[in-house]
Amino acid sequence: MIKTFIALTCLLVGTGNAFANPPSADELVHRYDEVMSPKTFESVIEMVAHRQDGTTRNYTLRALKSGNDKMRAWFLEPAASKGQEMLKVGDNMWVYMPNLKRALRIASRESFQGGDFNNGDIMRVNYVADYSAKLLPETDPAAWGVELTAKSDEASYDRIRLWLDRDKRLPVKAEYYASSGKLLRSATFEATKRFHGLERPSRIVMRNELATKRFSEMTMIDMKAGVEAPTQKFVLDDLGR
Amino acid sequence: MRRPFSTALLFLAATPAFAQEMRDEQEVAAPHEKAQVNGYISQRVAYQQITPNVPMSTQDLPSIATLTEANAQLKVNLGTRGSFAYADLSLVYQGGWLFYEDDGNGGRTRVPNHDVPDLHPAVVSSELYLSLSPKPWLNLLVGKKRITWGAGFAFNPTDLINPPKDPTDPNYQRAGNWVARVELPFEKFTLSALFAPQALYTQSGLPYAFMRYPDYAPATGADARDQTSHYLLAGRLYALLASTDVNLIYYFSNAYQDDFRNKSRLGLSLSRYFFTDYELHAEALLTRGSARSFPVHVCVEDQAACASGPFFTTSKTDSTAFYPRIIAGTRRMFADESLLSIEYYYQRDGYDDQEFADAVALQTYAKSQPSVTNAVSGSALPQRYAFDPLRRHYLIVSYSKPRIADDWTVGAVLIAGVRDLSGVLSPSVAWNVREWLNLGLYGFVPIHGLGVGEAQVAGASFSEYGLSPYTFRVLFEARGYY
Repeated sequence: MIKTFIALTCLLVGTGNAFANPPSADELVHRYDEVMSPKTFESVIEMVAHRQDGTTRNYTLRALKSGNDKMRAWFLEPAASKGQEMLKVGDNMWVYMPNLKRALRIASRESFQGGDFNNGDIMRVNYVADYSAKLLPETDPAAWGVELTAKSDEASYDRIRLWLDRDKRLPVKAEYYASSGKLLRSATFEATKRFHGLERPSRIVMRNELATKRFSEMTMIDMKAGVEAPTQKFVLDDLGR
Repeated sequence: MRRPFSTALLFLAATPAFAQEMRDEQEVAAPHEKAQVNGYISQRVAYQQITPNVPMSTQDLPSIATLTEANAQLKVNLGTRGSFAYADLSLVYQGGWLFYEDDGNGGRTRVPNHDVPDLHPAVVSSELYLSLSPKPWLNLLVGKKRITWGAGFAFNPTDLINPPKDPTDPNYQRAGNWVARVELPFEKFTLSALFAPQALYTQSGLPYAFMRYPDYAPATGADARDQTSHYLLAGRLYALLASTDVNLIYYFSNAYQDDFRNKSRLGLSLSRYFFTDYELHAEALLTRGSARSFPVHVCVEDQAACASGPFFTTSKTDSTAFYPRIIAGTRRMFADESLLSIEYYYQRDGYDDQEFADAVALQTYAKSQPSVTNAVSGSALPQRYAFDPLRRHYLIVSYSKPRIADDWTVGAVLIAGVRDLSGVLSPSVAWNVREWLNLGLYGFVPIHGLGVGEAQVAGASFSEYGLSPYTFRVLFEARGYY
C-alpha cells in the first residue's frame, strides 16, 4: 500500500513537472503524431485542390493505417479516380491504377493527384521516425515551435517548421522547406473537432508557396483511432481487390 | 509414429497464418457498399493516311474509323470478408470507311467500303471474375482477370497470359484472360498458383470451349482443332526484399497461345527506387527455344518450291538454346510533375538481318498471290496501337507533362528499333475539361529510319517501322466518366 502511494505520488509529481516545464522537441513531435496519425485508424478524407484559374478538383478517399509504417488509401471520388488505391509499407509506396489493373511504385515527394499535398503528406505521417527535432526559439506566446530535419531522403520534406498550441498541444501551422532552404509549402491546421474521442484539427490548408494562387484543403470527414486491420490489407497483392 | 517432413513444413507455414487469423477476426469498420458501379462512355475518331506500298495487303484497313464504347465496371461485395464478384464490360460499336489497296504501280486505288470482321460491334469482357477470401491469408479467384506480375512499364515480357499491351498508352490496359488462381498473401511475401485454360471458341466475349477443342468445327473462322490440351500453369513468389519488389515466376504451358508443348519458362522481375526519385526496374523471361514464326529461307530462294508449304514456321520451338526476353528501365517524376520513362527491350528470338529480309521478301511475294492471306487487320481497337516487335533491340521512351495550362497535358511516346533506327512517334495532347470528362488527341507517325540496317529486297530498302501501312495517323478521343 505504501509502495503504491509512493509510486502514485512520484507519478503525479513527475506529471506536474512535465506540464510546468516547456516540452521537449521530441515530446511535441510525439504529440503531433499521436494527434494527426494515431498508430492505427480508419478515416474518410475529402481533399479539395484549388487551382490557379480559380477552379477546384475534389477527391474523397478512405484511409486505413496500421502501425507506424503501413497505410492504405482508396479513392471514392471523383468517378475518374474511383478504384485507384495507394499503399505505403515502410519506405515503399505504390499506386494501383484501375485502368492499368496493376500497381506502380511512386515516390513520397511526388505530388498527390496534382495538388499541393505530396504523397508523403497523405501516406507517410510519422514524423518521429522520419525527422530529428529541435525546439525553435519562443517567438509566439501561444505556440511551441519545433524544427524537423529529415533523417533520410525518404522523408517527404527536407525540413519542416511546426508549431503546436501551448494549451492542447495541437498543431496550428507548419512550413515545409527544400534542402536549399526554399519554402515550398505552408499549412494551417484548423477547425478542431472530436472524432470518437480524439480531438484534432479537422482541416489542413496547404498553400503552394511556389504558385501562390494554388492551395489544397484536406478535411477529415471521419476518423476512428484504434481500428485493427488484417495484415493482408497492407500487401501489394491486395491492391485492386 | 513418425510424421512426414512435409506435414511439419505445412504446420510451420500455417502457424503464423492461424495466429494472425485470430487477430484478423476483428472486422475493419469500413464503409463498404454492397455494390459499386462506375465506368465511362468513350468516343474515338481516327484518320490514317493509308500507304498500300508495303508487303501486306491494306484492303481491310479503313482510313477513317470510329469507335463508340460504353463501359461499366460493377463490383458486388459478398459478405464482409472481402469476397466479391467483379465485371468490367464494354459494348463496342465501330465503323470504318475509305479503304485503299496497292495499284501495282506505286500508287493506291480505292477499295469499295465493305464488311470487315474486325470492325463488327462487340461485347468485350475485359474482366469478369469471382474473388473469395475465406481466410485473410487465402484468396481464391476464378474468371477472366488481368494479372500482371512484371515491373515493365510499357511492355511485360513475363506476361504470357494477357492480351498484348499498347506501349503508347501504358495507362489503359484492362483486358485479362481466363484463369483460376490461388493466392496466399503474407506480410513479407505472397505465393500464387495459377491455372489458365485457353478459351478456344468464344462468342460475344464469352468462351464456350476451354482447353480442348470440341468435336465440331467452329461455325465461322478457321478450323484449328487438334487433340491436345491448351493450358498454362504458373507459380509465383513475390517478396518485398530490401525495399525491392521481387517476383520469381515459373510457367509450364502446353499449346497455350503459342506452339510450345510441355514448355517450362522462368520469369524474374525487380523494381526499386534509387536515389529517392528514380524508379529502376528489370523484367526477364528465360525460355529454351522460341515459339516465334520464322521465315523459311528456302522459300525466298525458290518461292515456287514452297507453293504448297508455309512461308513461316515455328522452327525453333524444340531448340535447346536460351532465348531470353529482357526489359530494363527507369522512371522519374520531376519537380514540375512531368514524368519520364526510358526502357530498353531485348528479345533474342527477334529477327536478325537475314531473317528480317526473308520475312519482307516472303510477305511481298505472298501479297502478290491471291490465295495467300496476309492482310493487315483493322486497327485492333479498342487498343490505340499494337506492339509486335520483330527485331531484337528496342528503346521505348515516354514523357508527359501535366498542367502546361490549366488541365492540359502533353506527352510523347517513342518506340524505336535500335537495329535500323526506325520507330513510331506518338505525341499526344489531353485536356481534362471537367472532373468527369477527358479529351485527347493522339498522333502516330512512323519513322522510316536513317538508311542503316535496312533489309534489301528486290532493290528496295525496308526498315521495320517503314512497313507501317500508313504515313500518319491521328486519333481523337472523348471520354466521360460516371
